[in-house]
Amino acid sequence: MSHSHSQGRSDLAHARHVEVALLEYLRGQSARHEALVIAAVGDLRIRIDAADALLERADASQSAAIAFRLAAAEAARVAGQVYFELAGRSLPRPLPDSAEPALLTQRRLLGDHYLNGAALADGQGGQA
Amino acid sequence: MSQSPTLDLPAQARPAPRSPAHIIRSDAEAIEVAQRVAEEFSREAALRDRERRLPWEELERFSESGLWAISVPKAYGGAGVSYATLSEVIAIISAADSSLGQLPQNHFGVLSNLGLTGSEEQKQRYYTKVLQGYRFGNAFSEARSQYVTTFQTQIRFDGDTAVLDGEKAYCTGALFAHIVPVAGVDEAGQVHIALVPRDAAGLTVIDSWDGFGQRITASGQVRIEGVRVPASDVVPAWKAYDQPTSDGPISQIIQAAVDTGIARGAFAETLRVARQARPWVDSGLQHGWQDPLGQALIGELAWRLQAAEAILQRAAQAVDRAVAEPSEERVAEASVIVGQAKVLSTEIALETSSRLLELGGTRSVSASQGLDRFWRNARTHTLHDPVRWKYHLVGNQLLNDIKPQRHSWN
Repeated sequence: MSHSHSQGRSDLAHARHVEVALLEYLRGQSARHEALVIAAVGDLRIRIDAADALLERADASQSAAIAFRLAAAEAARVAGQVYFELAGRSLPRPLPDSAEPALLTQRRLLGDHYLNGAALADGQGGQA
Repeated sequence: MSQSPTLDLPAQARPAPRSPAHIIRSDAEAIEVAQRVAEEFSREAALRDRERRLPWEELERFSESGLWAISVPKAYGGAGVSYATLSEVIAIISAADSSLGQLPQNHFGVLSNLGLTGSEEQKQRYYTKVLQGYRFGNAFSEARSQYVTTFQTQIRFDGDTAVLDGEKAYCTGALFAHIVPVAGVDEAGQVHIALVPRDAAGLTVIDSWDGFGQRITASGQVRIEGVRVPASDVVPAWKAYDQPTSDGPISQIIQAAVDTGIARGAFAETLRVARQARPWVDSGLQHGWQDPLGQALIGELAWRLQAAEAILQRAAQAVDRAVAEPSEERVAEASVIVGQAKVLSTEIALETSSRLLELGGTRSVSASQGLDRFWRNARTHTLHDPVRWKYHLVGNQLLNDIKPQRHSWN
């Protein structure tokens, strides 16, 4: 398993952890019945499930592995934002692995792959 | 649009197919046929959109290909394909021409409802017709009712005859249909669907659709004035929602498949125009395709499209489970995952179709290319129902354990 792959799993696990904390917090609040709060919870779940669905395919190719990595990062980002907005505090997100290419680099590499057929080397997106 | 609505029965409109349809026998054949037909449909998609050339001939070839009958159960002579396959077929066609992808949307919805609420005799009769190439349209929605689920159109049973009166809007497929399913409420407030022949007395399909997207769907009005059909041509559609069934998720997943197809088509065009774009002067690059900022935008679109496709596939599997076991839990699960597919397909269809023009640069907005059709089609089709309430649907189940309401928009 590459650094990116394991970092993706770590981000996804973090997003799930934040979601659990968020649900626990909201279930004690009357805000749980407010439409905007409910929609924000739904938004987070959609990001988590999108990353989870891409994790199932992540071993198929380097591009699929990068897609999973970016989706997991998005899930973690949305989790942090929603939790901060609704609970008024933050939960620490795992620090990026120093061996992993920056997410914006992975995003560009994926684009170069689709646009120009550029090969994706091992470790750029990672394979389990 | 400048032309006035057409009221007369067009010469191409028929109450029966022009020629017998091919019968598709398997999921694999359905995908193969869809790819072949889509390749053909893609050739003049921009032209059809620009001229609003109604796709009479294309629809004949579409239904003659057998694709409109792929959900007819095996027991009735059809392929009985999975909803994973059906969704993929719709996405493939929609990538080529999303109006053509949308046109069978209600046809498949009606087939689902027929399977759930029709009598054995009705199933035998209408499945046979669909295998022969008959197309259903729809006359369901009404512009003046309070909610999309409420109808003012009346159905009155008079012995062996049903009589319908009302006015419908957004009737995608009705103009081109051989049979126009009309939803009406009886005296008890229960919704029935009458399967009305296209040339029935009192049925007028009005080509009044002037939406800036999905232009050739002809999603106009239908006027129903004293239309009489045998009561045996009416199915008790309300029964599909009186208890948990897969009818709602089936109706919705086809919508998500159309939008996923639009995103695919727009993404393919994005790659084409971005390869041809010149480099920006400040970049110091020789070619536009070397632009790292453009590459990053394409990478972003690529993973989001993959996510939408992965969730669409999950949603289709959930629908298949709900078809096999229509319990409260299974149906709610299907509605929620299909809701997720609606969100992701809406987002990526709108995003890709906008970035397509950004990455192509000014030359990509030449009307001769017709690339704006992807955004116009995405914006129009994703208005079918407000996606903001899909985030809510997903969140309410999770946070408050409240299952989605059962109707054909969930």
